[in-house]
Amino acid sequence: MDTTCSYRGNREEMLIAYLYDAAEPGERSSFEAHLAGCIPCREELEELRLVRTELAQWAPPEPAAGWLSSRATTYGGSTGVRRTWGSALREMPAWAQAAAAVLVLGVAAGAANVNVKYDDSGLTVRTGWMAPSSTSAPAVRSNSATPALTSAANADPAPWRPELASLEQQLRSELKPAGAQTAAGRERDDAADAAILRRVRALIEESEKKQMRELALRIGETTNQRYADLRNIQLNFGSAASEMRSLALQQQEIARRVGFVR
Amino acid sequence: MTWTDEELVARSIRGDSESFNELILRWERPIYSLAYRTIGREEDARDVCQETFLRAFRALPAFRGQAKFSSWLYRIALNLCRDWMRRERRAPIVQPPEDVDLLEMAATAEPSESIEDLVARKDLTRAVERAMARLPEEQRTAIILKEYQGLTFQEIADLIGCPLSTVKTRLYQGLTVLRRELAKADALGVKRSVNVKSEK
Repeated sequence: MDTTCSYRGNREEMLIAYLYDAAEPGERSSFEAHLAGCIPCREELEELRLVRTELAQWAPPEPAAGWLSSRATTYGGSTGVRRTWGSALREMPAWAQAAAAVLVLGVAAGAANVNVKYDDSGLTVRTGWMAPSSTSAPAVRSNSATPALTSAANADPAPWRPELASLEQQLRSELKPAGAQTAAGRERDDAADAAILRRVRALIEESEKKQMRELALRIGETTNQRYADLRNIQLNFGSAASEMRSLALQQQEIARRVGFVR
Repeated sequence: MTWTDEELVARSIRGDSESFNELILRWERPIYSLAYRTIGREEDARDVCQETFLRAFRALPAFRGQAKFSSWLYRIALNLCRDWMRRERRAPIVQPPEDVDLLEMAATAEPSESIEDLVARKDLTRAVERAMARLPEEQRTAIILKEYQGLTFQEIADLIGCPLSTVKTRLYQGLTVLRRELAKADALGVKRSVNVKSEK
């Protein structure tokens, strides 16, 4: 027995072909004859077989609960077909994400509840649940110069809500499980989706514009109030300065007289 | 009646969505396994799996049947895995070992396995995972496609786009590296042959 390999040919490729039982019959018998007298090849083959056995131990973790199983869940209906995410994907209209965005926008606007106030205690900006909108309205100072601003601030902050509610209703009805769709049905749905998507986008844009307008009004109102207060401060300051000047003159006069007496 | 993949593809192209669902149910597990073993992260493997079927669905009308549907699907998945690794700029991740949950392990145990064998098997699995993560991408892919997906040398060559001899060379080199890495693990106390049933 020899400790060096004398195989004529591509040893590595032959070892692999033999290991995976993919060698041609002629090659196989020839290599087996070689193996009988070649210790290095026999040992290497055994090692590679052990590695393959060890590799078989590596199994990927089962996907988390709810991933595979949710896609194999049966849903109601006479067909009893399985609902997979593939069909769910097609049933989910493209505008659903945009509708969700509108919902989030509405909730965020409510949650933010922005309240800007500038009064005797200074400038106050409040957001969030701490300042409910019902109490924030009186904080807006009634001012003859800004009646329109006040009424705008008191108006319904979300006139698009009814439309949003109807959209939500439509979304819910669309998301109800449906049977297999035909190609024509899908085209119809795609067209409807596109139309609704346009509507949703318009709603989002309108909502954003309205919020910007309201914010601009609030900022304008605050700026006006700030200017008015600054004017008052300046007037008061001017009056105080005048008094100070008068007082200083009186003191100088007294000092002069005292000096004169001396 | 059991349809072949190609028949299901044809029906899907004609608008039968349930046929595509059947293809998903048939291939989601192999594709997930391929993705997991390639990138090593469960959550990302699920994303890759899902994206594979999405892309396949979108590209279905262009599928001409010049290759097997499964090979086409594997190619999409492998490309996505490559994109993932390029984007993440890293080698496959070896997920950090969690605490050994003996109850959980016992549930998956063979009836004849002792608790010591269970722990040893877990250690061996981790050692294999770590060793695989050290392989160059081409070798790792060749081993995954051969060992776990059960493809022939020719199928792998067609899928990767290289000569048959290159596939065999990559397999040999990859297995040799694994042999060395697992021998190191053995030296560190990982039992290599505990309760492991040889395939041959």
